[in-house]
Parts: sequence; C-alpha cells; structure tokens
Amino acid sequence: MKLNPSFKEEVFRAMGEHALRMCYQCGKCSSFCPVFSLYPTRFNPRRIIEMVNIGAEDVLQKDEIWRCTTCYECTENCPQGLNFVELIVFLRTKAYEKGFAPKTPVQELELVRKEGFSVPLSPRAKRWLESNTLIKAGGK
Amino acid sequence: MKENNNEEIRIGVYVCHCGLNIAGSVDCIDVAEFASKLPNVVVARDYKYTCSDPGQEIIKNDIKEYNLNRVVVASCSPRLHEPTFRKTLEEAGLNKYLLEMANIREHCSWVHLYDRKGATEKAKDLVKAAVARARFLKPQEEPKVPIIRKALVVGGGVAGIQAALDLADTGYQVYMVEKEPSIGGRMAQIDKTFPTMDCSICILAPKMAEAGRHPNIKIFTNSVIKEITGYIGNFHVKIEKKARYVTEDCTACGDCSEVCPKEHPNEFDVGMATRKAIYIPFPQAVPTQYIIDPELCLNLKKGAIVCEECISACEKKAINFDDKDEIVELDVGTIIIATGMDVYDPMKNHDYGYGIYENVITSLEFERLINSAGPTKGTLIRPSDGKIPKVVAFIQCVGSRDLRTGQKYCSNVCCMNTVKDALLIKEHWPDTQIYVFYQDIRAFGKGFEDLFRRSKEEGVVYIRGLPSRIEELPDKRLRIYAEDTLLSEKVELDADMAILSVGLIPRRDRNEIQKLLALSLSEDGFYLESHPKLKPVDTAIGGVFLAGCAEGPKDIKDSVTQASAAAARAGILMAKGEVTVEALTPQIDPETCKKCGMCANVCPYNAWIWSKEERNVPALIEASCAGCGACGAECPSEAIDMKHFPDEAIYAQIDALLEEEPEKKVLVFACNWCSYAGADLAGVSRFQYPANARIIRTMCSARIKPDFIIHALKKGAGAVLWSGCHIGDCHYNNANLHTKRRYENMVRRLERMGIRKERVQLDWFSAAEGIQFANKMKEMAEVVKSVTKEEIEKTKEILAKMKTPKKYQRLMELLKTPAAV
Repeated sequence: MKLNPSFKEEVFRAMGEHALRMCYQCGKCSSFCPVFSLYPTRFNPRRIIEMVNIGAEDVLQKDEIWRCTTCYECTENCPQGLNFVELIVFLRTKAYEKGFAPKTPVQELELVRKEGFSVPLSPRAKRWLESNTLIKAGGK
Repeated sequence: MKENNNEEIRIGVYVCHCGLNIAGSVDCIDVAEFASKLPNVVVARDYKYTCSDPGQEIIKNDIKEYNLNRVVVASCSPRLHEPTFRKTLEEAGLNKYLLEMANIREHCSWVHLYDRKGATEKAKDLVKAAVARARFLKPQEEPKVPIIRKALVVGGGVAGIQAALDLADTGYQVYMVEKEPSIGGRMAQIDKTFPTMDCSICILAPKMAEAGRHPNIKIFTNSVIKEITGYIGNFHVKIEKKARYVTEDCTACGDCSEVCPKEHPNEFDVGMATRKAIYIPFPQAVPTQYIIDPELCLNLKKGAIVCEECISACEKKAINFDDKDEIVELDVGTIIIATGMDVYDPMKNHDYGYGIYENVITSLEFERLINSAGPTKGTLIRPSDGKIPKVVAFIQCVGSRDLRTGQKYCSNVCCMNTVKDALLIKEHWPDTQIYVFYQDIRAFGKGFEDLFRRSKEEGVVYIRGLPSRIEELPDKRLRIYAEDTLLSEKVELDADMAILSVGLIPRRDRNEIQKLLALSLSEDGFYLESHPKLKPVDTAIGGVFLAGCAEGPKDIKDSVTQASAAAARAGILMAKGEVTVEALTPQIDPETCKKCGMCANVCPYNAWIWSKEERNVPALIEASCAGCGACGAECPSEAIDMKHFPDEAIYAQIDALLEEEPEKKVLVFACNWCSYAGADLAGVSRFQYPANARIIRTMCSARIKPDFIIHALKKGAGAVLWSGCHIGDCHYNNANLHTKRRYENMVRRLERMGIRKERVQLDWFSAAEGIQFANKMKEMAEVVKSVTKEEIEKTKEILAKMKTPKKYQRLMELLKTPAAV
C-alpha cells in the first residue's frame, strides 16, 4: 500500500475535526458494526480509519467503503467522539469524483436522478402511476 | 540603597534568544537595536541564553559599568524566571524590584510561530512597554512573616499518613483530618499491591498504627474542614469534629455490634457486605474505636433512647448518646492536601450492563471479593450463584481514555491492577481461564514488565480490542462481543464473570477544599500543581502542598514518594521559621484621601482599618494584606496606589503598547494567577493566535480600574479584554467579584454613550485553559477587524468629554523630566 501524506491532510481538512487523528484503534466501532458482525473480512470501519490516518489513498478504490449502511452504531459508541459516517460519506464522494465508485451504486444514483426511483419502471407501471396517483413519475 | 529621587533613570535591556525558542520567530537582534533607541535606555543587548551564568554575568557587569538602576529582561514568562533575574540584580547590588520582564516567549514567539514579522513587531511593543513601566519601579523592602511550626494534613490515606509521619518525625506538630471514621483510605480496601504482590493492609496497618500513636500527630477522624483563613505560615483552620457517640474507652471488642438490630450495606466492602448501626469500618481501623451511624441508629433518629442493646452490651460504658458535633480551631503554618480520588461509577451509564447483569463487577468490588477479610472470606464467587467462576474476563479502560464518560486521561494504575488481579486468580484457582480485553497495556514502572510477563507465563490471554457489549445468557453467564483488532476478526467469549477495570476520577467533593483555599483545578478536575515538572507538589498558594491522587491518578509508590516530597517542601518552610512576602501592598496618600472608606469596603481581607464614626484616613495592616489591589482600583480620589503596580506604570504601558496602529490591537489585562498563566499555557502548548494581542499583567483583575480601559479606548485601541480567574477561583478571596461589578457598570455606561460592548469584553480563564485563551484571542482579532477607522474616531470623540485621571496627568508631568519618580 502506497502512502500519500497529502491525502490524509486533505481528509483532515475536509472533516474539520481532530477526532479522526485521535483514533486509538480500540475496535469498539467494528465490534458494534452490524456489517462487520456478518462479514468481518469484507467490512471493518476501524481498518478504514487506519488507512485514512496513515494516508493510504488506495482506500478510495476499495469496495469496502461502499458496504457501510450508515447506521451510526460506530459513531454513537466511539470513545473518542469520531464521526465515522461523515468520513464514509466524504470518502464515497471522493471516490465517485475520481471515478472509482463501483458500477451498481452509481447506476442506481443515476436512475434516482433521472427517474425518481432506484429501480427502472415499466411503461405500464408509469402510466398506472400517472393515472392513479398524485405522483408524476420520471422527473421530467 | 543607591537610588535617590533625583537620580537619572538608566535602563539596561536584555533580549534573550532562548536558543531558537524565541529567535526562531522573533528577530532578537532587531528588537535589541530598537530597544537601544528607547528613552532612558543606556544599553541594550541580545544574548543566546540570558538565564545562563554567562548571560547573568553580562547583566551584572553592565549594572556596574553603565551604572544601571533599572533592568528589563525580554525573555520567557516572569512566572518562570523572574526569581532568577531578581537574584542577578541583588547580586549586583540593585534592589530586586527594579527588574521588569517582557514575556516574548510564551506570549509571543511560541504563539506566533509562523508570523515572524508580526512576532517581531509585538516583541518590540512588549519591550517598549516594559521599559516604560521600568521607569516607575521603586526599590521595595519585603516584609518578613513568621511561620507557625505546625502542619495540617487533609486526608488520611497512604499519602496523608506518609506526609504526616515524615513531618512528625522531623519534629513538627501535625494535625490530620479525615472525613471517614478511620484513616487508611483506598489502600486499606485493596487486597494485594503491584508489582510485588504484597498484602496491602499488612504493609499499611503498621503505618496507620504508627500515625495513630505518634506523639506529634493528632488525628481527627469523622471530621471535615469548615473554614481556612490566613496566608502562608499563618493559616487559621476550623474543623468540624462530628459526634462519634462512642468514647475513647472503646476497646473494639465488638459486643455492641453483635446485638445491634439495624443493618446497612458496608461502605468499606463497596456495599457487598453489611454492617450494623454501631460498627468499625475494618478490623485494623485507626482509631480502634467503634462509631454509631446517626442516620441508622434508632435512638439517634428518634432523638430518644428506644433501643438499649448496645448500651447494655458495652462493659466499658463507652457509648455516649449525648455526644455533640464540635468545632476545633487550629493555627498551622503549612497545609498538605492529600484528599485522594474516587473511582469511576459505571452504574450511571450501565457500562457493559453493570448494575443490570449480576456477574459484571468493578475492579474495586473484585478487591473486596478476593480479600480474605472481605465479604466472601477471600473466595472469588459469581454473585449470581456463589460458584467459583471458570472463565473470567477483564475489560480495561472503563471510564478512562473515553470522551463519552468524560475522562479523557489514562488512569495510570488499571493496567497493572488487572495484571495483578489476574495473577491473584491464577494463584488461588490455577485452572481459571482469564481473558483481558485491552486497547494498550501500559507496564512502564520498575518491575511492571516482569509482572506482565509472569501473567503471560501463567496463561492469561490478552485480546487487543475493547468489547462493544455484553449479553447475559439464560444461565447468567455473559457473552462478550469484541473485535480482535490484531486479527481483524470478530470474537465472542462466554465468561462466568466480567470485571470492569474502572478508572480513577477526581473526588466528587473536591470543590469543598478547592473553595476554602482557592486552589486551581487542572482540566481533568484534579488539583493543579504549581509547575508540572519543577514544582510538582507545590500549589499556586504559598504554604499549601499536594500529595497522592489529589493531584492526579497514581499508584501507591508514587503517592508515597510525592507525600515525602510534600512533607520535605513544607518542612523547608517550617525549618526556616519565617518567609519574606512580596512587597505588593498599597500605599495611601493622606493628603488626597477623602476618608470615604471605600477601600475598607472592598478589601477581601479586612486589611484597611477605617470606621464610619471616626472618618479617619484608613490605616493598613500589612500582615493581612495580600496585595490584590482591589482598594487601589476602587479609590475615587486616586489616593491609593499599589507599590509594585502603580497607576502611572500601567498608564505608561498602555501608552507604549498603543503608540502605533492602536486600532489594530487587542489590549488584554490579565491577572497573575489564572488568566496570565492560561496565556502562558497557550504558549507552552503552542496554541497559535493572531499577533495583535498585547498583554498587561497585574496581580488580580480587581486591580484594574475602568479608567485604564477607557484610557485605552481614548488612545484608539481596537478592542480591550479584561480577564481574571473564574468566579469562585479567585486567588484573593473573591476579589474578582469587584471586577465583575466594575465591568458591568462600565459597559452599561459605555453602551449608553454609543460604544459597542463587543469591543470591551470580560472573560475568565483558569491556568489550565490555554486553548480557551487562544480561541478568545482569535475571537477578539475578529472583533478588531470589524472596527472601522470612523468608529475609532467616534469613540475618541465621545470619550474626550470624560476627564483625564489625575494619575495620568501626573505621568505626563513626570515624562518631561529624565529623573526618577
């Protein structure tokens, strides 16, 4: 893993808090995390914090950052007051900007932007919605 | 004395580089060059380390060669090196009060690390103000105060006992005050001590007994301190000795306790066993004397004899229901505060289910369980079913290093305590499986690593990761969830029992003593030492010392070491038998005094003698005066002046600091004890703030006249900050209440005149609030940015109508002559 000190500085600046650097790696976040408890090898908030803190920019390319459900268990229980959810949102934005975001979430977001729904609607369903409800399907 | 009134003022200025500490961000050569052109300056030099012997030699030689009669040293905080340079002056034959320091390190170079230009300009201003003030310094004689050769030790834990024994063995009379019915403190509750695994009470009891029978120690147990007045060497203490209802004839046979019908959870066993209404906290208690709990005893609750069980059981007739609380008054010269600590209570947040799951206990409860004199006679049992646990888990850092519980510090002892506890279990029941969940193991002391290794040899398992939660299983066992952070794997452990390694917290009743003596508290809430490294057992109050956990979490060895150190420090004072106090007292001019008595009204020490009937010129009792200056600021006819902080000097400082670009500057008045020290701490911690702040030091914020602030505004200051100790923390018996009153009146008046109150602010800082000070300076800098040139001119115009203070007129007169005042 290649370390890039300016990456960590960028995250610190954007997060605007010192708590990130204060992580003791105690492991309470991961122990509280519902995703970690199901897939400990695939998602670990503590590991993501450590990668950011040492300046491992590769973290942006990891699928791991897309597995957080933003349930706030970690943030609620962090002894050092670190807001992990804010960090994950920042990392995802950064990854998206750099084109590292995986296809599935990007496609879904595009759909929401275009159609107003995260699943594509059939023409028939659209017609039904338009005639029966107040919802005007499909933004434009 | 060399000085006389017509002598020309000859000032030497010494700008210190402090290696690169100052020179790194201040151009010291430029500052010295600038100083050499200031009025009355005869010589100005810069030097690498002015506090070194060669540095001091330069000053001494110059005093002789140039016939200097004032010295200005621009270096670190006067709180650090003022005594050093005062000594230099004395060695060269000058009175030490002719020294003035400009703080260009803590208040300048360290807080403007990246603004060399701003820092250099500020350093020049500070030197200019110091030179301006130096002119008005006068030689002073320091009054000598006798020291009473008796000491008061507050708290009877191991630290208090050690300090008392050391002082008593030296030959001083010691009074020890303990709130509980017995001395012994926390150490008496602990089973074994680390790293040697000695039995705690076995090594403590002989010391307790020694203190109990020492001819020079008088112990007041079940007593609290109600009042402390006086000053270094001469404290007057009022102690409330609560009624014990059992006389000294008690032989501690225990017959009374056996027949007593009322029971209560025993505090000494942390509520895990019971005691009677008449009880002795533990068998080795000193004094060896029973006590009756007035909240529990049927007779004392009713106020009449309704139960005679103990009276008839006592052969010695030692029970006395007529016993009354009693006030004892003492005079002592020194005080040692050894009030100890409390332990974190996980009940409040139910950490890890504590208080809900029976088998989750704290480390202090564990100590009582494993102790052979404890509620289970030393058998470690599961509270739920009384069985010996097979799997035990320890959880570290409960109430330490955790912002949510409010203790961000490391409690220092819990790691080793857990290692010791784990070994104790292994010693008694070798087959027990022990897991320790930790985030860092700190085994830093002598013999600590050895003990840690031994625990590993014995098979204690250490898992790096704090558990998230514990679940209780149907059979009352506990399922602990955690991440092994070294494996990045989720782990689950089913344990019979979990022991929370709870942190140490400041005593919950710490404010009682803090208020009595106006002690400062550190950010963590423990009592603040005078200097963290060089005066670790002194407090900012002369004659008052700290020992043990009152100052911060520490183990027994450190507490005892510190207690001996505190005893030695107190002993030094008492051996000398007298102490000189700084010549800071006020002087009154009987010619201008209108005999109104305002000074006597505001004096926090009743040091001014004045009566309404006689309408006399107030007379000062110098021994009672502490030199805060509240009277000087109150006097409406400007008849009172402080010896070392005269009005003229303060006006001269204001003028010097605001000579150039006043509209861009923030003028700060800081009191010596808290806000100035807070600004020093901002420097030591390198908290950066804008370089437009200019600080003027006085002893107390109550010395500051509203006139000074109005004068600064007249001079065109952008903003003014008036600062002092927090209300209740004032080092001059709440003199800062006068500060508050004067500020509020002044601001109301200024607002009416159309001056924004954002520009004139009052704020309180403790000596531990460096970051708050830096933040306030940033805030004030923003205020200054919002002030326009027009606003400044308008202010000047409004204030021009107000009359010029007499002292300032006098200053203007004086400045026309080159002679001394």
